[in-house]
Amino acid sequence: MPRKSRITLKEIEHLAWLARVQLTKREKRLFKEQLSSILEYFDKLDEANVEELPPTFHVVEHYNVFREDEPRPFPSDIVLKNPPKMKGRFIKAPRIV
Amino acid sequence: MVGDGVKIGLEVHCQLTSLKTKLFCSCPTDYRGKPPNTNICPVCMGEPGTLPVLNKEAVRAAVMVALALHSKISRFTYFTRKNYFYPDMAKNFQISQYDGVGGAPIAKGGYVDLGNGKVVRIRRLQLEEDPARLVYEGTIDTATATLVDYNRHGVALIEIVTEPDITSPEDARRFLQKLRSILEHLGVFDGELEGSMRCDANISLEGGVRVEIKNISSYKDVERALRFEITRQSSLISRGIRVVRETRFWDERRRVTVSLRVKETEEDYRYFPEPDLPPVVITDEFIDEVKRSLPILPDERKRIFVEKYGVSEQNAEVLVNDKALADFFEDCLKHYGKAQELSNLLVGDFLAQLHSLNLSVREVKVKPEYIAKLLRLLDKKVLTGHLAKAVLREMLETGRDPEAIVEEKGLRRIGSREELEKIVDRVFRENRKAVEDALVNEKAVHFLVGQVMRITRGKADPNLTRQIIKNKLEKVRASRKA
Repeated sequence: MPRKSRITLKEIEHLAWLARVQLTKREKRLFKEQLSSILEYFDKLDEANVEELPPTFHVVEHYNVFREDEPRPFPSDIVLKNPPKMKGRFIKAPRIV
Repeated sequence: MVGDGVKIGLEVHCQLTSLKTKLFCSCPTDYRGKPPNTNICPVCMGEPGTLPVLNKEAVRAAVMVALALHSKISRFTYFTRKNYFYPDMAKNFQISQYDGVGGAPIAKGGYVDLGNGKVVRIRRLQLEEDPARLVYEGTIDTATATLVDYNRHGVALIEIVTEPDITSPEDARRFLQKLRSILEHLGVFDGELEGSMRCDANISLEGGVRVEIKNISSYKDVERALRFEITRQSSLISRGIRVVRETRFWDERRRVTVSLRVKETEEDYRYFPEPDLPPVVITDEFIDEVKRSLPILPDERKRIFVEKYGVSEQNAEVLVNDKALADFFEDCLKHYGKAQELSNLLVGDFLAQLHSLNLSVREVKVKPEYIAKLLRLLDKKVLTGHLAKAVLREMLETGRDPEAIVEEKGLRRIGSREELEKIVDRVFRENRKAVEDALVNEKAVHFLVGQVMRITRGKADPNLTRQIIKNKLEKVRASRKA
């Protein structure tokens, strides 16, 4: 019998901290249920016998896709249309640490 | 005893500065001095729908480094996402490699010979992206916002992780210098570029726990940071306070390490294979091809300096630990055949004066011919050792011909017995008390020699001066007995 994956409230809180999001009590309970059911679904995969198989890291068998080392500068002003906050040419982010 | 049982491991990040583009996109790597966020593109900024593509030359450069460090190259390697929320990565993850379960860094194992009887084993080599530069408004403690410049973000780094084989801060510095020299010989790295080499250090003292120090950005600072940490930890231990396992931050301005409360542990990074980058297969043929193209490396060069040129082991080690210095030595050798004398000058006065002028060997404007000329002036006794130092300093400051300096400043050695005897007579007249002392005390003779040097501004031949003074003292003694 595969183990039933259950995620704890503590794990939800830790994940929220890693993702830098604040969750309400209701959201924590909701995500606990939802993530648990996702993990339970994945438990089905544990039933498959894969002992003889090498791990699959990539689904397509592509190897050695390289790029020549030739510079192609990009007009950076286009990229700078996306950041929500700027200060001069710097991108402004919240204070960290 | 302070410094006993110290174990140090280093995690060194070197930019592969020979590459013209970033690791996964075609942005140029000459970002230094550019206005913020001008060296970016949708790929390195992690815009949705973009795909990273690996720089071919980065793989070649990493294989070169692996060969030079005697590492075992993975025939099958791939990239991993290291997930964390921090604005120094635009994507909220860094494309790196992973040495844990399911990971395959580009190479494992290997070693660096420090040349002083010690060998430092290498744990692994991996390719990864350089993070962005963060600027704080105000100080790091009081800043309300972080300003980010992504120009550097995505530049190829090779991470070199050692085993905890280093036993002193001096050896940590020596390791970095040797590593720099190896990478510069390979031509993949330029240590003179600001911020091109940075490192983190793990350090533990006998019976203590491992403390990680982050943010070390120079060869001198690695020694300073580790010294500080040894003092801090041993003082805690001697007072019976437990050293906690933690990550500390090297504050290079205040020259102290400060505690960083980092709560992320390795599993929090949720490493998983980078789905956007296909794995890399490195064939034996490719490795052989790279091997054949390897240039001469420091250890081999040292052997040649010792065996072919007859330079002492010790001097040869100093020379090859700085590629520019070893190159300069060979250039000078074309003009002056006595290799050992030449090496003595270069590793001695030459390096000492560069240090005091805060110059690197590459900044030296002196022509190799001029170093040869200076040594010949010494050989011909036109200059004393003391004068040669003064001439060398002038040469380093101006790049001028030593003969011209000697002529212009009248820095010739005074080797004429007649001339020196006159000066000694004067010193004897003006220092009667010292003469009396010198008659009974050999050490007081130094004072008289010093007076002659003062009057001649260092130009007097020291041996001849000493001989004349001794003769004269002998005469005084004899006349008194009579």
